[in-house]
Formats: sequence, structure tokens, C-alpha cells
Amino acid sequence: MKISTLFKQGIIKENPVLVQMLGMCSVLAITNTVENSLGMSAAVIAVLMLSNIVISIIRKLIPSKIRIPIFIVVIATFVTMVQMFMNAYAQALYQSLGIFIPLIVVNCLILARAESFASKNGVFLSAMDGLAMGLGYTVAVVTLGAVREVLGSGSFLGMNLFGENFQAAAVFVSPAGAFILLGIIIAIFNVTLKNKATN
Amino acid sequence: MKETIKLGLVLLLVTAIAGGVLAGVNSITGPVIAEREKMESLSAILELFPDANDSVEYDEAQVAEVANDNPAIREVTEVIDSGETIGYAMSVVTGGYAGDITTLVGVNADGTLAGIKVLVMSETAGLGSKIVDDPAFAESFQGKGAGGNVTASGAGAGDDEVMMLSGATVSTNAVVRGVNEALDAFANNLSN
Repeated sequence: MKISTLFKQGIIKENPVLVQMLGMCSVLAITNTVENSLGMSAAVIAVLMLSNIVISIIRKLIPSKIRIPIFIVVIATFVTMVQMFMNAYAQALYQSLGIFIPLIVVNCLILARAESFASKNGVFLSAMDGLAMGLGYTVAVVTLGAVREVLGSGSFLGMNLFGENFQAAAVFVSPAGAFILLGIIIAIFNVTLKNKATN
Repeated sequence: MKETIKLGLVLLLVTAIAGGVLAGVNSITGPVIAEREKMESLSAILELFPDANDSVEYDEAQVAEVANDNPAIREVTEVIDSGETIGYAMSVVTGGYAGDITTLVGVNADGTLAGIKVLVMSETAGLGSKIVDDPAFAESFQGKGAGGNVTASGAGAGDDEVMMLSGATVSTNAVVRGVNEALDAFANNLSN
């Protein structure tokens, strides 16, 4: 399998958010600002790559009957590590992502990659798959976060864009606005990139 | 049967390794987190007592003595300005709507409130979280408490009344409960 194929799949053809619709809960919740989106993406990429690597290493040792609980333990361990490091060295981000860091454990995106890719492929390919899927997640949530922050708060990465008279549409900060924008982004994505890549 | 035991042992091994790794990470990050939380609580004390230039943190035995009948009290710090005790900052933990709320309560030497600051909470965003997000809430405590305790009512205009946040009764009352425990402990064990 070629690495470029992996990245094409992760980012466009099988984008975890825009095509596979995995992990919607955290996507809708944390994309209210670009900063939160980037922070969450970094956490997801770290957990996804590390858990893919470890699961790929131990894939031949674990009995298939209890593979799912073992995957969850591995994922939970890395999530807890990420959470501890974030609490220690990136406090502000830790506060604003709140409950969604521990919830990465039950993000089906990570379990899906462990089950469908890392448990069947070698270490290097699994790491690359984790990175590719993580980048796909990043592209989706940062796009959504950017649109939501600009429309909902009139700012980008915390910088005010339109001056004081701008009346921000608060609905885009709330999950309802996230649903609407996510639908629009998926529609645009389907019409442009995805169909081109598939045909 | 034999297979069940084998599967159980494999799972035990995996979780044991995971636990060991996490213990290692915790020993690195734990002190950093504790240090940062201490810095935060010190800067919070300065917010409540802008004049303070020194402070003495009570050790466990002293805190236990002050807390006595007020188990919500976890930490007590004597706040000092030019050698004179100007008040006490007490951190209290009370049960809110969603988990514990840690509040830093500043009590002046005359028994009135210097102010409060909610340090840790996980209340509902937009409702209970107003105990942090709405600055008027914390402000409504300042100078109150001369009568020994405060109650939450309306905008909190009256004597010893503090602001009742609409839609956040449980959260408001949790903070008020903690503040009253601090006032009580001050009256019983700290004021001379």
C-alpha cells in the first residue's frame, strides 16, 4: 500500500468527519473557535498515532476474543497521558476543551482505526494511517471552527476581525449552528473534492 | 474454563502495564500541576486582598482546627499587610449541580467578606457556569456577611444578601453554603 494512497484516503476519500461521520459529538462541541479545534486535533492525532502504533505492535499477541477491551485500555492510557500533559503544560487549552479530552477514549474514529487498520497492518503503515486520519480530522474541524468563529464571534484565532460594530450571529457558537454549518461543509465537500477523487 | 482464565490474565497484564505507564507519567506531571494550582491560588488571594504583601499558609493540623465543625474548609491562609493580619483566605469545597465547586473565600479581619472567587467547577455551561462567567455574582459578596452569614436573594442588594443567579439555584446555593461555612469558621475559630 502506498503512503500517498493512505493520505488521500484519510484526508479526502474516507475523511473521518466529512465522509465517515465518526466522532460527531466532539466535532460539534469543540469547533466553536479555531484554537479549540487545533488543540483537539493535536490531541486526536497524538492519541490516534500512538494507539495505532502500539496496537500494531501487539496485534499478534492479543487473543481476538478480547481485542476490543484491550484496544480500549490502550486508547484510554494514551488519552489519560495526553490529558495529564495538557493539564501540566497547556492549562488554558485544557480548561477550554474540558470534558472532551477524556471523551476521546470513546471517539469511534480511534477505535475504528484500531480495529480496521492497525490490527491488520505493520507498525509504520499504522502510524501513517493514524497521521493521515488525524489530518483528515484536523482539516474538517479547523474548517468548521474557522467558519464558526468568524460568523459567531467575529474573530479568528481570538483576533477581532470586524471592529466593535459587528453583530455576531450567536447561533453559530451553539451546537445548532454547528449542525447547520457541518451540513453545508459536507455538501460543498461532496460536490467538489470527494466526487473528483472518487471518479 | 482454562481459556477464560487465560483471557483474564492477558487483560490483567495489559491493564497492569497501562497502570504502570500512567503512574510514571503522573509522577512527572503531578508536581507541575500541583505547583501551577498553588500559583493560581496565590494570585487569587491577591485578587481578593490587593493590599496583601505576605501570607501564611496553615498546615494540616491548623486547618483541621479551624475547619472543626465546617468540613467544607480545605485550606486556610492568613493574609498579612505590613505585619498585621488583614483577613483570611479559605478554600472551601461544596457539592454543586455537577460535581464539586471549589471557592476561595476572603474574610476580612472584621468578619465581612473581602470577596470570593470560584476556582474549580464543572457546572452546566451557560447556567451554573455563571458563578464564574458573571462577574456581578462574585462582586455581590463583597462587604457582606457582617451578620454572620449570607443568603442568596434577587439581585443581592440587601444587607447580607447576595445575587441569586436565575437558572442556577443549585450552583448559587452551593457557593453560598461554602461561603457561610467559611464565615462560621472565622467567627468560631479565627476572630479574637
